[in-house]
Amino acid sequence: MLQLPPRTINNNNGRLIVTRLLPAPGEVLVQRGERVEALQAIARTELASRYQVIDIARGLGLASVDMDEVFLKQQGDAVEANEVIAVKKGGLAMFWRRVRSPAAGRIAAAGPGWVLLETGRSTTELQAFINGIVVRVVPDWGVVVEGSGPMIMAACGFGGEAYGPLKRLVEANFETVEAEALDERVENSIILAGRTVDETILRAAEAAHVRGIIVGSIDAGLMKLDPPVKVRVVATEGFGETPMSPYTFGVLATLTEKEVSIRGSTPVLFPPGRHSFKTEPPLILASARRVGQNPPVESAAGQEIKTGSRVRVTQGPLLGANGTIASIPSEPKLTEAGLVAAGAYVTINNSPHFIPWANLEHVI
Amino acid sequence: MAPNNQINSILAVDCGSVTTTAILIEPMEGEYRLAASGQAPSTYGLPWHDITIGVAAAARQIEKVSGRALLAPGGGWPITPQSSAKQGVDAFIVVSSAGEPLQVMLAGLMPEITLASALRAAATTYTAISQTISLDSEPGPATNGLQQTDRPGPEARIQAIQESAHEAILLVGGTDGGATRPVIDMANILSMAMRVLAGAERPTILYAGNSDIREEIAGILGTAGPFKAIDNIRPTLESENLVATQLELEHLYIQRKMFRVPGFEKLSKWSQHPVVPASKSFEKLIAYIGRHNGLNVIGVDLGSRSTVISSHVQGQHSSIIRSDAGMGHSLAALLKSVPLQKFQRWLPFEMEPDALYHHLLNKSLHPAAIPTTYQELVIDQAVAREAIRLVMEQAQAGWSLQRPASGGNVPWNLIIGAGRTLTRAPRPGDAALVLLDSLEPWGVSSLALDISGAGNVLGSIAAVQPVAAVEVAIHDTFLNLGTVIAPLGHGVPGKTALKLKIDYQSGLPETEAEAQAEAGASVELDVPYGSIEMVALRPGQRARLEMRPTRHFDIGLGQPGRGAVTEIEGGILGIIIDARGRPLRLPQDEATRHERLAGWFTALDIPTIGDKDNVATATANDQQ
Repeated sequence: MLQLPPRTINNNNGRLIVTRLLPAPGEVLVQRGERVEALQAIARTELASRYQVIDIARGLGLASVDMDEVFLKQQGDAVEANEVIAVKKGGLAMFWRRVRSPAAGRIAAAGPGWVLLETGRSTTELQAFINGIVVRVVPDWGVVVEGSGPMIMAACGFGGEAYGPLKRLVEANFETVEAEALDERVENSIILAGRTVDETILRAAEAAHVRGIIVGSIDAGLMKLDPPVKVRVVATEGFGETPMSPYTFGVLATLTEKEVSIRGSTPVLFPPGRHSFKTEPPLILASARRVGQNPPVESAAGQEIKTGSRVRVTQGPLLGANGTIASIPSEPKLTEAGLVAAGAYVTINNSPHFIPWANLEHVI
Repeated sequence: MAPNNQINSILAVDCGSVTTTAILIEPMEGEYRLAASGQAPSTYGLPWHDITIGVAAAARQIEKVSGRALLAPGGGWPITPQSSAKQGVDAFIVVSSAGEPLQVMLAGLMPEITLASALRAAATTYTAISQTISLDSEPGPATNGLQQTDRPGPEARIQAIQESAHEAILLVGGTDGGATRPVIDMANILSMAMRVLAGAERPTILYAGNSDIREEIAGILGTAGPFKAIDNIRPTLESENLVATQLELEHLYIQRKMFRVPGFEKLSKWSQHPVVPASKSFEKLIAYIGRHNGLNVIGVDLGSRSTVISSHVQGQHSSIIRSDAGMGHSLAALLKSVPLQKFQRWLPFEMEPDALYHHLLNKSLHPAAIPTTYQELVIDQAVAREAIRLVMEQAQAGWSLQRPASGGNVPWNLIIGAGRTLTRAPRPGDAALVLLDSLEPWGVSSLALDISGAGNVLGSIAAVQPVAAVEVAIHDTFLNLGTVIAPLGHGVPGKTALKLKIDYQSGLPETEAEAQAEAGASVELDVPYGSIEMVALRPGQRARLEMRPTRHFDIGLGQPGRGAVTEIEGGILGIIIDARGRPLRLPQDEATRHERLAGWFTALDIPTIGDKDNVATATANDQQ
């Protein structure tokens, strides 16, 4: 059975499932079965943001110390600035050697001769990202939310997650947005901006309080802007100047004025780390606020590729193009690069193109 | 494992990051031969999430061509042992490089000494160095080149460790009887960081430093998480001992990564033999070929997620694996290690740096994609050159330590290329030129490609049926590209670097008539410096080769100007005379470089860009 990696690009009322996990254990704020909204906080954690190492042995003027003997606190204890945390008794009390906390904080850890003082904490709150129902709670870590609605798997992006009404600012997939179009009407919205954006547009969007931008492709240099822009950006096709595929543009255009969730990320550029939007795939979702009369459409993932299947090209001059399988040759074919590869003829803009299987995704 | 006389037929599978290759070996006319092979996409990712699906698909291709059932109906697992009706196989062998590398943090004292040894040990299995810290540097973004900036402070290190997702921490430092305090300080920092780690699974800490303070270090780190003290990686400044560290890291990779690839547990239960990392099996093959034939052998396996260089030099074998030097999955990581200009220098056409960068980033988003145009193919091969060069640089540092006099510059008798970019290149000249440009061999070397895709499994097969591995390696595995003659040194462009006399001898039986006609013929050549050219010598045909380098050039004898006579065997490219000089120099001027590269391509029968390819291709998305 011939299968290809799937790429969801549809405006169906499909089932949406998102796993929302904190970067570190914390508190889950919702319960299983609870209805949640995209911007609702569903879990929260506090992360240490600053540490200070206290050398107890050195502070007591000793080469080594027995912590059980000198340390007055325990892991997790709060301490005030200048509070005595260790003492070496001997002789008159006035001659005892003491170590004081250099700052207010919490004892994060203690080891042989040292103490790690946590002097700053930051709170991280995780939102539901989509409208839906909590179908699973992962204790201390987060939840799985299930909703329904259209989904577009994007190629790359940056900035993280955003939610808002989708405004279409271009008429066609290959057009680009003019800075003048970014006025008060696009405040707090996600804009469908056509082919690509540059720094000028991004800065204008930021000034207009645009929450997010959806384009065909992005210049990788935009990810390194200093200062970085606060607008989240999702590209449906990849890096460079490739226009958005007409098919994807058409799907997105049907979502105009609907609330959409976007995630601007490029996981291949980030090493594995804590759970973070950076390591999650870029997405565009339009989860319904209320479950309608019709049950969600089941995903077509895992279906066999056959004549008529919709596919997307992932490499070459046709990168990002969508088409349908016209025929599947029984033998591998010679490509322009001189490689012999198995593949299919794909109808794109009414013309058949031989595309190797390795360069196709199954659009579902 | 002892050789097993009950094993006749073998189904061996190599699960790669992109492709799963299966081969069937069975006795044919008294010898083990590769009877059939099959390939399928590796299926550990979406939409399958089960690596066994790809394994079964590759095996079914063999079933189709061989006409014998290999898999149990319904279940899909291999039928073992082989039945009297010749269904199934006697042994099922699996090697794998699928899935993510082990995330390793290196902590040590001196970047050029103990940390360099730690890096070499980590590079012997599939690891990614996620962070490197030393006492006098900040916990900067990890690069395998150990580049760091100065910003000492334990707090910053603790913070950085806490924010990363290491699966192993390798603590090194101090020769035996040497420094203790800095190592203890580093252990304390790690201990503090470990105690505030919020993750569900703590990294395993391996201590491979000064063995005199092993107990003290165990006291500091033993309660902070999984901990193991092993042999000092650098017992003296002059020697290193990588073995214990290598074994532990490999064990962790198998345990924490390989067995977590979806479907892998099921796959491992299908086999009676332990599943080993593909690189380990490849290394065994290279070591065997080197040992058995008394040759210096280098093997390059260029993968999507990693590049492996295995070598056998004067009786010693070693491997370097870089999981940040792959053609697809780790291309984004490679772009962080190698400046864009280095890729660009191998392109015989103009390409804006931004366009190249975006093309490579797009390729990293679709690691299984293959080139569709001439330009994409050449870019792919440019990436291959730089990936191999990056790994080679690290390997040379290790050889240099083992043999200081050589400076890591080893004359190779045999060079083996493996991996799709090389073995599925449109023309053999493509693969040969990539290997020559990246490895820069000198002297006289044979070039071969693992055209069967069996290279990664033969080492593991050798553990259960050595005769099968040997016979398949001899007959079916490699495509002999030919012999390369590459003098070391530089001269005046156009002036003679080397004089050659080739006396043709007999050939293979199937080319007997032609070979007889040529036998006795002789060719004399004056090879100018800066050139690369091919001279016909068919596969199987032999020739007596007389080489007389001019006074600036060394053909592998360690003395410039000294000539030699040797016997060589042909290949599909014949004899490649690479007089471009070593180390290879590319012209700085772009137009000259384009011309030079195009000339090299032509010399190896690689077409250069045609007019039709220069036409900018409008994308389909531009049309409404």
